[in-house]
Amino acid sequence: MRDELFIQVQTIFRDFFRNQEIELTDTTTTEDIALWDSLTHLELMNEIENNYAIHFTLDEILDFKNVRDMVDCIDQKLYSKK
Amino acid sequence: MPFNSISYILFFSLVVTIYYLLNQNYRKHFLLLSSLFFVGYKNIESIYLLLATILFTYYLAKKIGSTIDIKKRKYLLRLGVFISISTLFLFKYIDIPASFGFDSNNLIFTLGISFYTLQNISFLLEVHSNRLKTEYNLIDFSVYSTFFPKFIMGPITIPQDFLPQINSDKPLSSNLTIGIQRILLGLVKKIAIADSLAEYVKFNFEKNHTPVGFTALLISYLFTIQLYFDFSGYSDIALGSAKALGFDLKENFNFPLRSKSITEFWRKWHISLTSWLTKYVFYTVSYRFRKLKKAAIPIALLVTFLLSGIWHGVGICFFIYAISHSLYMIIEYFTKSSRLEISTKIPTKIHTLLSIFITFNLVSLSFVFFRATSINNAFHLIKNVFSFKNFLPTNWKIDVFEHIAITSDQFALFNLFLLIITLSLFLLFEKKIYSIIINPKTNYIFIFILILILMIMGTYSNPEQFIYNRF
Repeated sequence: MRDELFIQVQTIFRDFFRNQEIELTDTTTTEDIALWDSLTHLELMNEIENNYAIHFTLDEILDFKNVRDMVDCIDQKLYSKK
Repeated sequence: MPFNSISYILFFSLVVTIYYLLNQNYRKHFLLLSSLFFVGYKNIESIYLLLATILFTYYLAKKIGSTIDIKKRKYLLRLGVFISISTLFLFKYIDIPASFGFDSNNLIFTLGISFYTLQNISFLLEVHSNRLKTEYNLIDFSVYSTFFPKFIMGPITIPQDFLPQINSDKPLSSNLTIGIQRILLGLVKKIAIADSLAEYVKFNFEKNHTPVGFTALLISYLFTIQLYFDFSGYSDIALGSAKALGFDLKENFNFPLRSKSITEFWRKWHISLTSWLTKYVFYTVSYRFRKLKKAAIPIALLVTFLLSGIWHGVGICFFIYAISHSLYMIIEYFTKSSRLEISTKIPTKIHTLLSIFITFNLVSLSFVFFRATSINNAFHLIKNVFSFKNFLPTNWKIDVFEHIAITSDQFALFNLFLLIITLSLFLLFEKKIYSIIINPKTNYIFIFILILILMIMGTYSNPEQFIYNRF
């Protein structure tokens, strides 16, 4: 389930940054993707929220240190929706 | 007690000696006493003010932490932020001490208040959002709040980065070597380079001596370099002092003059302030306006830079400085993809050099407003930069070197030449220099060279204040 979610999030990243070569890992951070910085971060979060019909709080967004934190948070939100 | 003074060197040596002799259990108490002495040695009033704000912030943070009701927590947070900002306004902008007959320049509390306030607000915000997991008591909080290496000009430190270090027992001898090497580097940057540049910059920024064309451009470059060496020199001394005491503070500069864009520049220049503003202002505003999609970013950038401008000082020059950087960033934000595409079509080296050159020029032009004594002064210099008719000097020696050096004296010209060579070497090899500095194995040849530069080029007769002291 989590692996599948990880691949879906990777697809969202690839479409958002228009770069099909992006390979996400648990430890990927803003340092690893050229266009991913504080300016594009919230837009990307919006994209993920719309995709899964979930809502991140600002504190959650500020707490994400890497892709692992983000995917875990999505996973948790999808689980509690069920 | 400025970092570039004999009194600081004596104070620091004494603190380090006693600190190393003390048992770990008493070290934090000693650090607190040392910091209180640092703040109050000139006037005891600074300590009263400091203790009042410490007690207020500490007990409010404890109250926020123990309150479960979300609305009440928010109310307490807002109260804390309001009181902190009001104190900043009273002491920095309205200059309350002056109305009671105090000279604010002598009140260390007033000197450090801009940085100190942001740090206390950060503490309240981190407690409110439950991000601060470390246990702390009044002594721990007081050490965090007053720690003398960062009290006057930062780096602004979030509690999660600092509090765990207070009670951790760590080996100190390697820290001492790195710390002292770093302090030495900071002193060279400040006393030998920034202060030597200060005189040329000061004179050339005066209205009746404003240079024209290339020389005006060069002066704007020299101020950018002066500011960099001044503030990063300060940060080196702050980080070195902290390191010698076993504390790792956040790096404040990451070779910013090599940035390939303004966005990158702000990730590398005054990092602790940028991180603070990004976390607590930029994200809050862009999150609030995120329904506006792409329009949320320009709004958030404008608000963030305007607040940064006000934090630096009230006045039209800081306003233009803030607006220019928000505009640079907005343009970069909307052209990011196309710029990335262009970069793939140009050889990497050429693209990198061009990007650094453009960024450095944009930064230098904006810093003219940062340095100028008035708006007319700033526009006059910028107008002179763009006088394309007379851009290139007819006589390089007279129009450039003698103009900047303020004299035609051969010895003074040689000094200027030596200074330009030294700072160029520093800028070219700064990554290498930094790697030697943070190596715990002492490189005696390198230390000898630094001391030699300090002795030959140091400006001791009229020591300059650190530029960021006035913020």
